Amino acid sequence: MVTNGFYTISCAREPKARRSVRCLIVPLAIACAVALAPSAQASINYYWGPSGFNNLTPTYPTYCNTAWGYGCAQTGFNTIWDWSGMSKVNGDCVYIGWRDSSGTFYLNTWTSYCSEFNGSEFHITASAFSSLPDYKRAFCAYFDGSSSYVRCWERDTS
Amino acid sequence: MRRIYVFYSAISAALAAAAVLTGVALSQLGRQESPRLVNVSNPGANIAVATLGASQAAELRGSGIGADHIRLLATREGLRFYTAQSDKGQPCFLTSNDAFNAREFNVVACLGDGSSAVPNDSKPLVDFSAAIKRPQESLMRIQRLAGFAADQIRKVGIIDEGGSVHTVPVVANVYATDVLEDTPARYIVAFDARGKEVYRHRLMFPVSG
Repeated sequence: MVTNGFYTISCAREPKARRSVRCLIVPLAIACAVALAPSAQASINYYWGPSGFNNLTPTYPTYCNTAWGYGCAQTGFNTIWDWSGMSKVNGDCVYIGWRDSSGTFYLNTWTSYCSEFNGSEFHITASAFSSLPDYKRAFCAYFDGSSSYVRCWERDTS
Repeated sequence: MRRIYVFYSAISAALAAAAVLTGVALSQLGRQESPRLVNVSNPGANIAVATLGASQAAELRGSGIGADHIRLLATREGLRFYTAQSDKGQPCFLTSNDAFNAREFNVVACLGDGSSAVPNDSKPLVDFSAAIKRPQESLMRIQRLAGFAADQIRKVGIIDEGGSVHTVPVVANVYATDVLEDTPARYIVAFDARGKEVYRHRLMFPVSG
């Protein structure tokens, strides 16, 4: 009997030769699987753009406005949306941050990275700012319309 | 018969262990041979993932950053500056607040497609400065300067609305100010050891509130 902590492999009722081979191969297969298995990744729901950038769903309520440079923000003014992310697939400059009820934007200037940084992925949290209003919307935007393609998402961290 | 069984069990256990060790060794070898795309000379210090909060560890996993890949470059003005490499080979830059109970990273940015070193001559800053743009104002206001700089950069600063330059030194490839009084600014600029301006980024946000 061979035990690896999760599975118990019994070798008791087979001919000797086959049993020996089995006892040799099965632990090897398990060891290889453990050694080569990829680590688990967290899953995140994305807003796809531009075609899917205007989503409005009950779970992740988003409002998008071309006056914001093809930007989107959470519709619910509350305190729990304090995390914003973007995958920059192609196109020109992008920003992510927050927008409050008065129309003020809170941004990290690094997100102005443009086409030279296609392929990038950005996450920021509210703690990146020394002060933010209690009422804010996670916000992301890109600036050259149809040639841009980004995935943008926000997360409820409550 | 019992001896044969024990013999084969021992052989199989040894081979299984060898397979695991080979896998780990190959994995480490692959990491060591990957190009170093975080283009700063400060190597930083290895960070044990156990010293990070649970949310920070989850953030690393979500960004595809191996737990043994993160390095602390420096702590400045209440911020910690880290570099890392993603599983895709991208150079990653991270900051967090310098507090023992910091829940999350402030910023996680894995830049480019893994083919270019960052920072570089054309983009010598990885700037994480925080800015505010109010709808009734034309200029952004810088809340604080913070970021990573290439080796040749010795000072980073802003040019305000009157044209005055305000700089902070780059030490250990990072720069930071304490919280500014929301200073209106036109540009972020970088200077080399001779004091020559070698980079200028216009602060613009062509969006109405």
